[in-house]
Amino acid sequence: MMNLEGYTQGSIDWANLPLEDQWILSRLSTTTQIVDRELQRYGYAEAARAAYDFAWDDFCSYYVEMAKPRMQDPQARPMVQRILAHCLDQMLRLLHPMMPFVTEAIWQELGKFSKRRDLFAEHDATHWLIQAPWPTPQVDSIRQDVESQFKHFVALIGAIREIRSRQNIAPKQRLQFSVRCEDRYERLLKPMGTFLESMAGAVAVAWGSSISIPEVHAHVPIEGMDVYVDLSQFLDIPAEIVRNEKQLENLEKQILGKESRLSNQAFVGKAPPEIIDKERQALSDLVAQRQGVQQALTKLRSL
Amino acid sequence: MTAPSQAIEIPNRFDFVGASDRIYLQWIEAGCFDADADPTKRPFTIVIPPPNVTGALHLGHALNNTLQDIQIRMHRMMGEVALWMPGTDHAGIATQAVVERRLKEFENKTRHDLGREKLIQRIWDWKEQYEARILNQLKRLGCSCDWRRTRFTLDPMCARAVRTTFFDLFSKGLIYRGKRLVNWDAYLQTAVSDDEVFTETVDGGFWHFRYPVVDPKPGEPAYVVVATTRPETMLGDTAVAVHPEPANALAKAIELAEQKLELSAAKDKESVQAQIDGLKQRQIELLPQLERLAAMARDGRKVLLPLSDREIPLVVDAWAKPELGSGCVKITPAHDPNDYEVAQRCGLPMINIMNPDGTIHSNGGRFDGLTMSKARVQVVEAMDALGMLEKTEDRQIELKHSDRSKTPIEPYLADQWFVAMGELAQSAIDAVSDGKVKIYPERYTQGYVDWLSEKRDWPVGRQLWWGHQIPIWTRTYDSPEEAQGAMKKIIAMPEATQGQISAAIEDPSVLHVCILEEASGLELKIQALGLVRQEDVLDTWFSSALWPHSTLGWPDKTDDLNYFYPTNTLITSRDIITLWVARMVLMGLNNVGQVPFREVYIHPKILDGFGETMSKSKGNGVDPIDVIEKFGADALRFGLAWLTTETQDVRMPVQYGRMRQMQEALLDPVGRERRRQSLAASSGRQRAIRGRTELCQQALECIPIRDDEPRRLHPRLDRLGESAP
Repeated sequence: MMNLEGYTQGSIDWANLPLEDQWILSRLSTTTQIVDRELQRYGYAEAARAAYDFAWDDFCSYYVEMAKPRMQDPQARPMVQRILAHCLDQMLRLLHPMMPFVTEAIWQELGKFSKRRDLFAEHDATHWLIQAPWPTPQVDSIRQDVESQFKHFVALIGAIREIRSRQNIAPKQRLQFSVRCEDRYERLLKPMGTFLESMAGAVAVAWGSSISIPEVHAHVPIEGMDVYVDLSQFLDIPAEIVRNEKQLENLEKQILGKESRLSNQAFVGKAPPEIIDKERQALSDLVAQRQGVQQALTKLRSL
Repeated sequence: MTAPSQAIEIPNRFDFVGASDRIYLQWIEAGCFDADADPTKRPFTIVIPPPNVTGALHLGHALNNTLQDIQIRMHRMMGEVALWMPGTDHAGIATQAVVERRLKEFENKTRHDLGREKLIQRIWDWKEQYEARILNQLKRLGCSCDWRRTRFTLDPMCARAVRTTFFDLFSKGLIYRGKRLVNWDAYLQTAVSDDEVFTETVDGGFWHFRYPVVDPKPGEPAYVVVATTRPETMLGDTAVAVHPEPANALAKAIELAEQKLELSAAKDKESVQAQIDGLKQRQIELLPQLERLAAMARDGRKVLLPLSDREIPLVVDAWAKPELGSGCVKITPAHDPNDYEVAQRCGLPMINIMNPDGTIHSNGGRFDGLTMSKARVQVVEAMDALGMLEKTEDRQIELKHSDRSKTPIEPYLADQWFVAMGELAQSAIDAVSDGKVKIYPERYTQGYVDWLSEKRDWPVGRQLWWGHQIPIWTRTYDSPEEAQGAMKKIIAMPEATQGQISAAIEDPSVLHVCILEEASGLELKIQALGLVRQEDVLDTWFSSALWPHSTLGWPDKTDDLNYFYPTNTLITSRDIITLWVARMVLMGLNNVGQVPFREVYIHPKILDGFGETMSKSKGNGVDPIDVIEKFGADALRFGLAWLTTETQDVRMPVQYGRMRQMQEALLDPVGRERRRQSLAASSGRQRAIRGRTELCQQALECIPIRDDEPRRLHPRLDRLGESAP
């Protein structure tokens, strides 16, 4: 709501609507269609989910975040505010039957900024939300292509955030990532690089079907894309070498112990066969581990 | 984010309790819920399923009413005149049982100690208390009902509709009285319907008695053996039945068992084979005897009923099973539903051996006045002393109990008032098959149609005090001629020609007179002729069946009725599709000539943590107010909507966390997003899920509603005893 400080009523430059505005207006109309249709056929759960996804994910998690840079720009700010106010106005109406009190309370606050938030209405808003007209979807605003583009964008952000959380990388640390994908995904998402930077703190270094994958990386597959985040800068190479050397030493000792035991005739002659099998298995596991550590060391030393 | 505003302070948490109450009052003051007929707009109407005034509402009601309010609010915003008709149900037997139980518990009195008037006053007090509490719960939930119109199924407006309907059906010959075997609740001393009965397995016995054959001829048995789980009922036996064709019946039983043997799994084969062997044994050992008895029955032979020393006939009827017991069965028509059927088929007399309070009637001879359980012991002892007790076995018995008093049901022969269902039921079936009423989800249509297709006449009388008293005055005359004469006199009265009065004869010489208007001088005139008003009240569903039109002013042709009827949708729970929904359809068609609603939506049920449905009487209900005070009405409502899918019942614990998130999202999207990111950054989704789990654990701590707990009751109710005489 504080984002609406200084709100002025006015029109929208429809011809030059930024992508994210096109997207949120499209999502709003799609959501309006779903909530309206589902409530009329007693699909309460479906209506609740659609409203929730719009309010929580689309509007709050993405749109408000994407709008932030333009909020700082005095030229762009009034326009963004109008879109924000419009979406909030319509969202409150959609949610009112399910959550009457909180929506009415916010409606009253919204009324203090402006009586006219609905971009398509010819009248001022009613004093009470309970008496406000039910929203009608703006079918012209629905842009399937934009919605699909954002679906992939959201998935990509999700993948990067997942890696960040898995690898315990602080939010302020910038990441570099590569995406292995078909050209059409590159065309869709490459232009959204600034949003990826501002919202995921990550910069794409390579797109396409024949990219080279970073030496040290974390990987998450999503629909149509393989996302690789370069982790080399987050490794303390000398420390990693020391750690691996210690591990190697440890493994050598264990392997030696197992080998001498298995070559001891007194043991092999008396022990039950299943114990001997177990020991042999343990030995081969250790050898495999040693190989892994040796490879890691080779790689680390070459960096 | 921009600098915080100086001018407007925006709370980042919603003080839902205070704000909600304030907003609600403002809506009422602004007349936002008022719905008045406006020909320039479309109406949208829902009548509330009136909650019973037996106790407070639980989460199941919160779900039901949330779903209705969502529709009402949406259609109001669509520019329609959205009327949500509120009210409560007097819930005859349920409410009287609650008040009587408290009377017993706190004052050790029965309703007879108090008398009809005083007991009814007590129930009104209870009603005032709980109606206020229920309406308050609905308001806290945010229900946007037109409260100016609040109705009660016993108020004068509904009473007039009930009386008009009863008069109409009686005049059409669709209401009649007859002796029927009913489910008798001897504790509450009323008949209860099949829907108000549950079955429980109890430890019991199986007693084998000998009844001597009167004047046995050579080769005939000296006695027949009958077995029973209720030995005391032998005092009312009027026959012993054997199968008419025992040879065929046994052969058929063997054939069936052999088919079963082929189909059964290896492990079951042994027991099925044993069954077949047993039946074949019977063919050798028992069949000749049964054939002889069947012949004796056809010959009109009798057996002597011990203790009563009455001769009772041997009869043939397929109810007697040659494959079970001795193959003979005692027939007690007045106290067993199956025996009642046999008596109907064989033209046997019916001897009632029970008083309404469950003690033995004077027809029971020397056992007169004993309780059923004492009579059982003494009958068995007496039979044993006579050498007529062959053997006794322990056995588990499926016993019917009354849902309201939890005491065993006694099948009992009583005068009952019925509504003939034939045509009425057919009209309600047609309404659904023609698509005039649509039921969602569609799978519930079948049960509705099946139930109505049975066309079982509806027993509408209840031997209670709390309800609409049947508007019939009755007198039994000495002869049919006298009854006819009295009827002629009454039909000739000017009031009869004005359609105020209707009369009918019940064979042979009982005159029933129905009066349309309440408290007219006519009642006194009829009473002066020696007719006495029926004590029974109507089944509570009789008045709720009229709810969609009685609340709009029917029988008057009001503007409201004209504008708001038929209503648009009815939103209710699946367990009253037959009891309520079907009856509303047929009564609406009979009274108004139009269906009461165009759509019916059947919503899921809320189950407790153990998968049991919540109910007022089980005491497992959660008070929605407890949830509202913890999470807010919006969170509760959103959560309930979220869980309302077409197929799944909702099981506690319910997660309210998501609804809290929704509130946060609306109030402070940016701050919320930052919290979400940091949450995700630290330990991903797990944390968020854990947060929600904590919230639902809090929800579980909500105190279940216990209406019987004194601390939850209004002080006035706790002092009830002091005001007693």
